[in-house]
Amino acid sequence: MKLEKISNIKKERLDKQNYTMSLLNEGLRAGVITEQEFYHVLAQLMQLTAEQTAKYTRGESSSVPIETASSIALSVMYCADAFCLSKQDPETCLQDLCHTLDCYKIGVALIQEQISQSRERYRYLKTIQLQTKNTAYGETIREIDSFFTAYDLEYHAEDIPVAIDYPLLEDISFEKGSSYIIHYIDALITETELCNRFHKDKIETLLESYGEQYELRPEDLLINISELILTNAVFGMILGREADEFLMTHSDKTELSEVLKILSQEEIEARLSDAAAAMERALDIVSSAEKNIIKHIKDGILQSVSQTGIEQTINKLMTISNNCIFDIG
Amino acid sequence: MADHFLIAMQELQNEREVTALTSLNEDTIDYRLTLTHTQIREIIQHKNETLKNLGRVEIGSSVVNKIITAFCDSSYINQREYAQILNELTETFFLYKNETMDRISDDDLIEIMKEGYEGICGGSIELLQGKVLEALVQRIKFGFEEEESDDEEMEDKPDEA
Repeated sequence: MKLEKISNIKKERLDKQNYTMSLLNEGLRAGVITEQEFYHVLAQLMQLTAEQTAKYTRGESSSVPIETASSIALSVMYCADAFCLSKQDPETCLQDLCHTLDCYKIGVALIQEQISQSRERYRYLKTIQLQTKNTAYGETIREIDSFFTAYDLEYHAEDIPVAIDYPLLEDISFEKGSSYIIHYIDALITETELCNRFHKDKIETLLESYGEQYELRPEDLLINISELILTNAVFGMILGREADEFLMTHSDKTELSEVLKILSQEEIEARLSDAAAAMERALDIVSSAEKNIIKHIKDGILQSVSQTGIEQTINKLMTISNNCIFDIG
Repeated sequence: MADHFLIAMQELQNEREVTALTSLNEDTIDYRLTLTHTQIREIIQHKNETLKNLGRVEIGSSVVNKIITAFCDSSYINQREYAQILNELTETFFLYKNETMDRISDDDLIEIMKEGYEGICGGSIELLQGKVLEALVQRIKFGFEEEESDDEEMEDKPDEA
């Protein structure tokens, strides 16, 4: 009778940011690989690191400063991680790791392909880029261009050799190297596509209004533009406005406060959910990435209400435009 | 993560180095020099401590192996002091890899060390460091500037030239 190996690998024990090593450790713990296989793979990775180090020193030095060694070792692991993450099944991946020498090369090819695709996405981003005075937004998009020539996958794979100042709505600070930039470009495209559904002159007015609150020029603001627009837009939807009517006055603020303060937390949550859903319909939002952004905004408002109350939430999150009579025509 | 990986690599490398240095005894016995298993372990441990103290990592081939091969025919090394001298030479080697900012290859540094040790230093590692290797550091760090200032001096004194 042939015995089938039952997998005991617990996927929750696998760390995406340190995938290969966590997979090897978990594979060993679960008995999917033997100790001999574990050290065989480790020896292969060590050999790859040694070869990369020799290449780095042009074969002239067997030792390097620890910072250099770390960077090269991390680069090897970064490429191995790309290989492992491309495999659906952890057990198959472990067998591949134990029996192939090409995990590094395959990982390199995968990342290069991802970067190539991301470059195409970056070109698209530049075609839809918001026409805004905001320097962080414009400069960051311009700066990303140099990533494609400056990025060093072989020796500094975890580095991001460009200055990324514009803050995304989503925190992707856990991402490293090319993954960070690929993720950043995709997220910024989604945010920019959402922002492009709103009138560009109104966006500039909103930025100016926000800047006035902090005595800053719109050029100098380090804020997420989509968050600013969508938060105001959700407030507007609660007041029965159109999605594009996101410029708010002091009387709007008072009205919103009056509407919300008589509601329970559950009723406020229901109102916010209705407003978010209405906004999705009005803006024809169908993609899950865009829906996630709307949800993020809604959840942020709700969390603020539960933590600080309605008045403070509105004071903090709503941007008031003193002069918001706007003629789109 | 890199630290754990490098430590694991170091452990694997240590085992390989023990084997490599043990087999090197077959060559050095011709010069009446051998290392016991305990001495080999101690030399590797000393090297690892030196690397750690100097903020370096050795990956791939062992430099102790190269030092033994280069110095085993030295007239200043005998069996009694062999292990101790190897430790001092290894320490000196890594110290001056740092001091020369990695601008000199392993083979060239070992060649300079051997030449100095056998020559003007007469088997003194203290002199090797103080004279030969310090001069090497000066040449590497300031050589270009010295040449430049020499040129300037020449330009300032055209009549003397």
